[in-house]
Amino acid sequence: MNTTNSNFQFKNLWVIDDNEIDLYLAQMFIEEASFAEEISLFNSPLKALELLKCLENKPEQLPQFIFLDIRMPVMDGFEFLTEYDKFPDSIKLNCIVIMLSSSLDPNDQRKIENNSLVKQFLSKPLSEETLGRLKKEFK
Amino acid sequence: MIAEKISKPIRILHVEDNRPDSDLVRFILKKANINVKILVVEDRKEFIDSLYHFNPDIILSDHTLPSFNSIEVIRILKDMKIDIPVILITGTVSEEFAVLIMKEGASDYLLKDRLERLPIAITQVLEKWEINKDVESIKYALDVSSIVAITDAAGLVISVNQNFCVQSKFAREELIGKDLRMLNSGEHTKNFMRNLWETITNGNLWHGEIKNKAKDGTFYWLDTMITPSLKNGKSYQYIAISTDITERKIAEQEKNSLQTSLEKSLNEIYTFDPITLQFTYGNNGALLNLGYSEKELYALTPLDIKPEHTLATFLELTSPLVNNVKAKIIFFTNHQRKNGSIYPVEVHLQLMLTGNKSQFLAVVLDITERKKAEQELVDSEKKFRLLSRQLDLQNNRLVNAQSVAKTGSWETKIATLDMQWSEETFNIFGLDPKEFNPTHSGFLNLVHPDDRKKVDAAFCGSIGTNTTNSIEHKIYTKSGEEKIVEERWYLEYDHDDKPLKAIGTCQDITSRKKAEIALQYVTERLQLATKAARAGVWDLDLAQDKLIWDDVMFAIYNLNTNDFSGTGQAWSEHLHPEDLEQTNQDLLDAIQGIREFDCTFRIIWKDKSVRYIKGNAIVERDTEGKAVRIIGTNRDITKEKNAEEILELQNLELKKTNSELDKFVYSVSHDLRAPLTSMLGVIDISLKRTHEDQTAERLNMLKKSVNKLDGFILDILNYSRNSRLELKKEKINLKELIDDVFNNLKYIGGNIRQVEFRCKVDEQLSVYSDKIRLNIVLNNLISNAIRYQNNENSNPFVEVQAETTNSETHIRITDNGIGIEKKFRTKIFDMFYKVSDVSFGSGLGLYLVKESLNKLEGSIKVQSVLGKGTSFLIVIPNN
Repeated sequence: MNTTNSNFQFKNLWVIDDNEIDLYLAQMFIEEASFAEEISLFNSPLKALELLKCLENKPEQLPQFIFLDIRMPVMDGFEFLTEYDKFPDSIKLNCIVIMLSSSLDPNDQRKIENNSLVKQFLSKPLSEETLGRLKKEFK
Repeated sequence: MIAEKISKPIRILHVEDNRPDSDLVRFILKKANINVKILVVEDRKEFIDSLYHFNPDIILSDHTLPSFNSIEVIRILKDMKIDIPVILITGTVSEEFAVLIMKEGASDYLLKDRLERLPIAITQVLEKWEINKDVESIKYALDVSSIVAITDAAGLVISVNQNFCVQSKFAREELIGKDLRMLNSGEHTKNFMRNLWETITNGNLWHGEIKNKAKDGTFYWLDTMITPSLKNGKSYQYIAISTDITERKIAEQEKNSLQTSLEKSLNEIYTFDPITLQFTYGNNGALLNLGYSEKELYALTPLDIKPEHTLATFLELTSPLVNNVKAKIIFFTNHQRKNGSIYPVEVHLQLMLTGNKSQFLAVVLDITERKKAEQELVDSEKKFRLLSRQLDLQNNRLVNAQSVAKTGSWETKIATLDMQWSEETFNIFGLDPKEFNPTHSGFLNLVHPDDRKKVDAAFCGSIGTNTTNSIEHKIYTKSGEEKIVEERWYLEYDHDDKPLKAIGTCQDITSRKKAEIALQYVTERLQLATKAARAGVWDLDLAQDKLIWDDVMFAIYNLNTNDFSGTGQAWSEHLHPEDLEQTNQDLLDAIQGIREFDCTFRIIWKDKSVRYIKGNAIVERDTEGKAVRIIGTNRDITKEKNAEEILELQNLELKKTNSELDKFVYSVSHDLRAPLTSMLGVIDISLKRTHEDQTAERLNMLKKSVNKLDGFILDILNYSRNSRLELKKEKINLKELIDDVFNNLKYIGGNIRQVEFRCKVDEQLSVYSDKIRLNIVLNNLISNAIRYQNNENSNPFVEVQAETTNSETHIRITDNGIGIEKKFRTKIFDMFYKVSDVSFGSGLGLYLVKESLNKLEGSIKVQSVLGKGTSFLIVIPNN
């Protein structure tokens, strides 16, 4: 956790969602909450994975948070996590993965609970309150 | 000898007629001091008489007398075979006369005027005569006592005596001049003969025994002395003098063989001293059996080899011999060998007197063998007694067996038709052997009247056969009880093939027959029952692996009776290979008593069709609990199984459908909510950031979301309609329909460019199908083609082609869009599957297309090259 800049809680944060509106919304709310200094938006989980791989040796550029949507075409959230799990601990221990979804499917919820990589599950849409809670939790 | 003669007066017979001459002779002899007694005779008669009465030693004769002359004297002597020397006294004599007279046999002659020589002449003549007589006697003695042969230096016979001829059986003529080797018997070695010759040719005497062969081939032995006669140191003749020792030789050989036999005799012969008791002789047999050497034996006494005797007992034993009460005693005892082993003996003991000494002579017979034989005799006697007891036992057993088996035996003499029955046969017929004398006709009377004819016929018909005959028939016992018996019999013939007797058995099978009938009844009931249940019954004899099936089994397995070999192995060949192991295991478990046999398995018929079989069985065990037999059923449950399977499938489908439904509901709800949540978000931002003038963009975003929601709801509706609505087939003009679709999609809105529509469909072309669904298909495919256009392509297009055959219509929709990656090509038809990052569409589109085509009984295929374009081919039936 980087506390160099007191304005922003965290330095680097990624949002992975195929819906451009949701990405826009996420950016808005995160900026509003001064949650993170840098926000990277990915509409393709594949692109996110590629970048993660490159940053293996540059831990300072790794995101502290990854907000991950569940329902995405080509590769959904869980598939992303399977690939993400293959990364070395140097990456995984640096990031906190939060799952975002508007899904009500209990199967999805169960899957998230059983996956140790996901720290929390949040419902869309993001809100000030949600982010506030997160800030407190992961101080 | 001569000296003796001289002391005795010489008796001289003087044949002289002239007195003065005879006186002169007397005078001369007196003067010579020779003791003589002279008788003078003048004529023949006197001469002859005097020969007998006077017994002269010598005869003096004047040559010429009136009636007589000296030649006559000599002749007379010869004729009378009187052997007396004659001296002739004569006046004058010519040389020829002298020679003649000597030749005639005169010993000497004297001239009358030289009578002084007379005494010397007489003495000389007499001497010579004596010597001659001696020689003659010796020769005679030799001749009569011995066998003589004289050969020359070469071994050729010069002369042989009479004995030689007698012995060799050859005539003298056959021997003279022949080589004596003709008598060779072959007995002697070459060395022997060579030695003989060398000895005698060297002038030495040879003495030995020679075996010769007589003329008739018989053999004889001679003890021969050969004396060479030497002249100038060289042998010029050989004189062989022999005595016949044939008998002696034979006796010797016999003696030798006897001696050898005695020596070799395995009977032990001992002599021992009566005082010291020490052994003085033990023959070979004795030494062999005892194992002692001769030296060792002589140091022992009989007590040393008789473990059962002490000195006292032995002396007592031998006392009758010592005391001359008995000449010989025989006793039995045991002897001990050097190695300690003991053997039984019979001892014959005598006390002998040989010369001055008396010796005990013992002949010992090793009676080990005899004892063995005796024991064997006892043993065999025992065996014999045992055997005869066994025979008795067997006889009893036979009687018992017959009674237990309810089988009696009988014999019928063909000639008389008299019968002999065993005890059990009487029993079966309920008759008393004392009261009933069995005959063939008597027997027939006991046979049930219904069967009488057939029984008699069978019996008569069997005469002449060589096989065992049998017949079952009813009988009435004496008490009127009806029984069923089985008779088995065969015929015996004499060597003329005339039938002698029938020998047979008769078995009471009444109870067996009753049981058979009962069994028959039960079996029939069982068969009816199983037939009703359509269950096949099988019966497996475990020991023989013999498997019996009833008809239903064969039907179940779809086999003919000759297709099935009746073994457990044969049955397992019809099992489905996947079920073989388990079924066999179940069977084994049942045999071991672990669980009952209740198994469902598949079998494969000849025509390869598969049937489901349910097998149940009960295991029959012997008194030790070992499984001996399994009886079971098989039922064909294929129908039920199939029904079960269908049910299961339906259940699965139902589950699937249910879970699909669940998935569908969640997806739908998510997809419905997603745009809403986005909208909420935008609205929130707008409300918060009223200072920012991004109203237009935000409102646009809202619109997008709303549209998305709307589109989705429509899709759902379409989906529902497709599922539920019945097909409504009508004639559709394809070009019109496609044009409509194109028009509706022209202004799809958003960032999407317009694409070129190319419709390559014949105006006349019509399709007979459901319009709504066809519309859905075309709408979705074309809208995808528009949406998934390649932004780098300057000229995006969508092209539709169509052609019909009699039964089908082919429609091809091609675009030059972004294409579909190979690995996703099958997934695209999945419900809610979105293939691209570009997030428009609900993911239902192609799923709907597929479902619609299914309803239309059509099909769809996709071809695509990533980055280049995609082509969908739809085939719908056209009727």
